[in-house]
Amino acid sequence: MNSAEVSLKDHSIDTTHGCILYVENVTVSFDGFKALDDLNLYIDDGELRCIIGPNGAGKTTMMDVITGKTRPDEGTVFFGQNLDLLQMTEYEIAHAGIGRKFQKPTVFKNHTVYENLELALHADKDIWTSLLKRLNADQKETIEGALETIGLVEQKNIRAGLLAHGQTQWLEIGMLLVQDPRLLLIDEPVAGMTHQETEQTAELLSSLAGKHSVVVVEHEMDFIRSIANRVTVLHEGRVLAEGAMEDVQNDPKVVEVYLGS
Amino acid sequence: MIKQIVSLHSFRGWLLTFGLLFAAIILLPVLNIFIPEESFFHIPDYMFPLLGKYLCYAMVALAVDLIWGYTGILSLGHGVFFSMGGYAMGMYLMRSIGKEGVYKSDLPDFMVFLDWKELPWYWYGFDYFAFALLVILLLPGLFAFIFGYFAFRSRIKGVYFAIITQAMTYALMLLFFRNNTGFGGNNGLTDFKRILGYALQDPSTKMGLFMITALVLFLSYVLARYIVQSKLGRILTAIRDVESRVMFSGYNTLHYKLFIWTVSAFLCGLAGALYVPQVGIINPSEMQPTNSIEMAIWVAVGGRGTLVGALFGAGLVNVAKSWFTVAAPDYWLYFLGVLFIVVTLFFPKGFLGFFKSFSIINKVKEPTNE
Amino acid sequence: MRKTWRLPILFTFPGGVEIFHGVVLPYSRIAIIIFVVFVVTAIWALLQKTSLGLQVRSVTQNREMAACMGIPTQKVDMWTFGLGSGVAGLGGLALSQIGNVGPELGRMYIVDSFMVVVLGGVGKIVGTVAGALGIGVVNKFLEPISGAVLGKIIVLILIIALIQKRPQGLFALKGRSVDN
Repeated sequence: MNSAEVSLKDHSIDTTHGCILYVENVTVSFDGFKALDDLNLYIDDGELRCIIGPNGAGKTTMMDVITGKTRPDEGTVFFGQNLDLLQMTEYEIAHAGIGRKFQKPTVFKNHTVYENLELALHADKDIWTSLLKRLNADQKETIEGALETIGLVEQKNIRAGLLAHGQTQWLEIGMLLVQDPRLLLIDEPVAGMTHQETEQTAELLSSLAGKHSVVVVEHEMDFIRSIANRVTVLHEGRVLAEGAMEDVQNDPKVVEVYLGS
Repeated sequence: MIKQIVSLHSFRGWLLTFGLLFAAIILLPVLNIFIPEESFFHIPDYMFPLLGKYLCYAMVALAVDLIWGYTGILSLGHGVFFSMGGYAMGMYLMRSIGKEGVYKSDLPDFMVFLDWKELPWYWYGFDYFAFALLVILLLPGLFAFIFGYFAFRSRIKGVYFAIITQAMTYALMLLFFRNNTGFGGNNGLTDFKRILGYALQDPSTKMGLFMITALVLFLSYVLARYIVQSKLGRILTAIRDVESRVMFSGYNTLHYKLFIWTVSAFLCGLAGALYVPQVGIINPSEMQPTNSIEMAIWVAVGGRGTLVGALFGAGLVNVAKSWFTVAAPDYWLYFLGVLFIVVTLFFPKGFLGFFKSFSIINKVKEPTNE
Repeated sequence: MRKTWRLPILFTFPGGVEIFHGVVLPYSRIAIIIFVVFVVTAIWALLQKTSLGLQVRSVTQNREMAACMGIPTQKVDMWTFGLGSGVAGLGGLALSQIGNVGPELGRMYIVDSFMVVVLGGVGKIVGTVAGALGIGVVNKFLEPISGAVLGKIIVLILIIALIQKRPQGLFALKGRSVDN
């Protein structure tokens, strides 16, 4: 088909420069309103990055651009040095190794928990494999392992639509785990979770960093403080500040945006 | 592979399925031949084409259920696929009339009537059953594939897709209504004499066609069941529920939709081809928008998203239709309208869904991954 | 064929305007055009300038949110459906002035009118107007060249080709989609 599909086949993402995601000069406007305005963002391979910002700062639009849902008016987005994400469709991007957890938890409500994980599982995703192959022992083990990690072993044969909100969040995180992406984009993971669940999530995400790169968008400051090494603050579609949590918190520009005039 | 097919049903499920197949292809013919006509259990000859027609409709319902019930794509274009299979079979049957038509010509009667001297090029090959069979098996699927590729690629969804398919049906119906198109215009193709040398009027031919239809329906059911029980089937329902999530999980949903759309058209074309020799006519009214809507109603009445529901719905509505068109022909459409409104308002999951809601089946699903 | 009736012309304006040599636009059709412009403007005003219009638009965009704001969504549905049916009735009224009237008068227009919405894009009156004019004019130009039936098929193919480029229709609303 196109060049993106060819490079998708060999599956190697070139990260020799230590960077896995390059977002450069990206602008998105909706009928004159600039959701992203000349945004630049670089994510290192294996990094855990938190992104914060007031409502309307462009956090979700940025994720939409990276995952191919929204096409920017200007700018470039590269995955590693070799994959031009703007030339790829949503499923090609997902296949290349970018997983996303949505702000509003989206799981397949009419499927069981087990089936949800089966669908997300990292495997061949063409029609003939789906039609003819059954899960092999390794794949079953991966799913069982994920079920334990997210604590839904007992619920595995229950329809996902019947899960509680927190459990749904966990299921979606589990789906990301079995999808085994190089880069995880996670939109508000702890919304609706109890304090204890929030801590568990923080632990889980921290343990993922290193092997995977993780980008988390969150409002919950305690949560960010507990996981973040580096924080990026977005405001009006641009990067307002970037750095360690303490530095960012004391940045007068950030204080102004958050505490307002 | 064999193991996977066996595991499609529980032992009781298979027993029931094979029991029905046995009843259709052995019991009914036996009751027809060996039971005296006075007996209550005798199956009269005229029942076979009628039952055969119902089985064809059941196949259509399976096809519509795969694309609508499981994948959530409402098609109002299945009348076209049905007609394609039907016309291909009809063209073969027309050619095998030979010179026994009213005008004693080698050409089909309607062409003589239009004063055509030669067979149009697209009729070449239909002298041979093998060629017609090939067209029946390939054309509806191929047409659906091309149409679906452009429609799905542009991400037309929901009601827009339904409208586009309806427009397609409407345009093709107008095309087939024209005499110049070369498919018999208004009257369509009819007055068939024989199929593969067997006289169509012969009771044994009718019985044979019925038995073949039953067998093909059985095989279609197994195919459909295999599809919906596989991971592919679960992906289809996932596309129905949240398509974007399926894409972000790395599946090319275009391929999946195109696959099931093509399979659905294929089954529908097959049903049309089996329908024509048993009913004895095919004309453009099969492509009327109302016909395609009726197909959707069968599935809605029985219950979307279950194969048994689709089969049940097609049977129920069509038996009711046969009864009404004899007892009170003027009221059939009113009945159909009321039925659809009642089902939509009170049994949104169809009759089967209504019965199911009494059990706990939809609360806890059986594990399907073993 | 079912029986059809020719209705008495309501706007009895005999004669017409000669646009250029040999082409006469009858007064009755001009009356219809004025009538249609009036109806479209009225609907536009209703949707953009009244509180009912505001409610309708909010329900279209986000039903749950609208319900949370206290908008009676079912009532809005009811009103909108009634309004839409009424406008279709006005369309029938206009048609009765140029053709025969029968129980199947509307059937001819079902498919075409849906195609207009697909082409124009949902939720934009300008899209509907542009789509309707586009399809109507193209159809009329094709008819003498290719015949009515082939003309319809060509229009269908053109529409499918057009929405390859603009899946949401010609005048779609752009923005962050709600349905993720």
